[in-house]
Amino acid sequence: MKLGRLKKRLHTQARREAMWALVFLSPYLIIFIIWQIFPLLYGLWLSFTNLDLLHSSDVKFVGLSNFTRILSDSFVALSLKNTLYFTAGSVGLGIVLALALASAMNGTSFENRWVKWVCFIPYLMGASAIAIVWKRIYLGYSGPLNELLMAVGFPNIAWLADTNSAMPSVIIVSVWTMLGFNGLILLAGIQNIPSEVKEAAMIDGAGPWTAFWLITLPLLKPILFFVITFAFIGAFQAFGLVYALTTGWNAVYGGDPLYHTLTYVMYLYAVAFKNMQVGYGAALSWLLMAIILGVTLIERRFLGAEE
Amino acid sequence: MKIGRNPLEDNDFSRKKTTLSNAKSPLSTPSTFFGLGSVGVMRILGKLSLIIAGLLILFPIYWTVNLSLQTIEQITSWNPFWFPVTPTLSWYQAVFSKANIIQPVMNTLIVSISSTVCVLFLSITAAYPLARLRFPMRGLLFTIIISTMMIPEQVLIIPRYLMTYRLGLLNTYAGLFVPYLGWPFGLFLLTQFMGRIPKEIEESAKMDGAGYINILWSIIIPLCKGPLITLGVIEFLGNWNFFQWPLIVINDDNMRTLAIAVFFLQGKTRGAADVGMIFVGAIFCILPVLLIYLFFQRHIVGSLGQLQMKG
Repeated sequence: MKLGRLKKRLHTQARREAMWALVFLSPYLIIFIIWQIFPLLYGLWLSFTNLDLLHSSDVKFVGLSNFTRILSDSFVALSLKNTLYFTAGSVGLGIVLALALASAMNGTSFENRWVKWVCFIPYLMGASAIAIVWKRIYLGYSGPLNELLMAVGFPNIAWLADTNSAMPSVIIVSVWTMLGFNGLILLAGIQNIPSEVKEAAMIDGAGPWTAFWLITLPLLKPILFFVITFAFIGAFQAFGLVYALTTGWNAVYGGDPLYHTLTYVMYLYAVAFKNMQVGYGAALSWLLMAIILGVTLIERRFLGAEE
Repeated sequence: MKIGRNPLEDNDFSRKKTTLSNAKSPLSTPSTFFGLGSVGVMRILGKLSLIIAGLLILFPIYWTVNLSLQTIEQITSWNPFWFPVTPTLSWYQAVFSKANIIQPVMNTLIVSISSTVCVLFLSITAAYPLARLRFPMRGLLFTIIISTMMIPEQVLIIPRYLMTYRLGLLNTYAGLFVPYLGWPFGLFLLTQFMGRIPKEIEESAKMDGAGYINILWSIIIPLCKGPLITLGVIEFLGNWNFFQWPLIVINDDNMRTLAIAVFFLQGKTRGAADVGMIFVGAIFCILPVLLIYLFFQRHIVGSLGQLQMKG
């Protein structure tokens, strides 16, 4: 009798708790469903339609024709090629430099703390400010970079305007912005490695270089996996930085010179928001999603297999 | 554990001894460089190169300040001036008188602050039940919400634009930040932290008959001060620097955020005599970020650990 009443009381209390949970959750859930779940499904639907806001506002289901159009769109191939170039360059160079930086700033001396403090600043700067600064640095003739290089005998190079040097120049800016972020995460990983392990190796006669290859790097693998994945996802979706660096304020497609720095997302942006071919743009964005998820899974298999 | 397979780990004492002496031999090599050993020279070179690396990282910011203080003749001269020989503040006056930079600064402040307040409110109210209350399907709901962090932002941009357009929110403050409020990062950050607070802390308050709102407000929130500051700073900076979305939803000059206004300032000053204004514009973008970094460095860099968990 008494037990039954207690059970009932507990039951009503659980119901009260669940009710309050719903009250607390509802503001976020409403926003989440409207701006996170609905756009996902809406975008998927759009990718099977011919919605083109410049010409008419009526939507027709066109099956897979947007996706077959992707296959024959030479701009897709071009922008994917550029994006791969950018991603390989900025992730490859970025991770190597970040590893070197992380090893170098592991410590508490003045110069360690100085670099640790400084290296994160570029990561916090916005794309348009970064672009303004670096455009001046890369400027032909009156830019400081060329001034220095010409002083030691190099020819003048119009870094961002030359078809060969434009992408490497953009990659260097991207590496500069991400260096601190990647470096600090890798540093945290390096500091998590117990110092006894490294000391034991040193006592066994391993030099710092050997210790790095045989001890630090293997133990760093899970964090390295995270940093590479994160860098890849970011680089493959590159827009703001590349756009602001290589696209005039009145350009249509952008990616100057002559589409050599037109990334996939910049093309997607042009299709959806300049040409207003929303349906086709949505299809392009879903291809991007497939690529990113696919590569992340493959990477996880190769790099994160042990963890 | 992984080193167990490694040939470096060898328990044979005699071998250890020989390799130890081998390793030490380069240390004993004498050197005459200012009376320092070769190791000392290397150490000083290492210190110097790190300090120089830091200066190189900062160089682009220095260059912006440098250019913003030069006259038009110096900025456009054939050979660059490495420091402002005759510093002038005329560009700083020009952005107020000619470019009306106050408007975009105010727009960006309004949007960044509103967005931060909304995200804090939504994240707190959603993280509390997910971390500390019991209700059916809690785990499933959390998994669904968090898994949407995997979706590349670009997939959501086109539908979000159409929704913003149909709701009449283009060229409005709400249109600039409301579509991004569903991003579950804040909720994730706070749920992790709230979940670690011991249950006993709120038991006594419950005994006294305190309601859930009361417990959340007077017990949980004060304990979450650190992550809340982190989240607030990240959200503010994210909105301050936001580039792609404002570029898409704003085409009214008066509604532009600072980042976009400064980007378009380049077009306005192209070939004109006002080119120095864009450097001042860039400084306006960077300065608040630097100040926030100075004050909240610990919170910003500390949040990297949270990001790690996400991966």
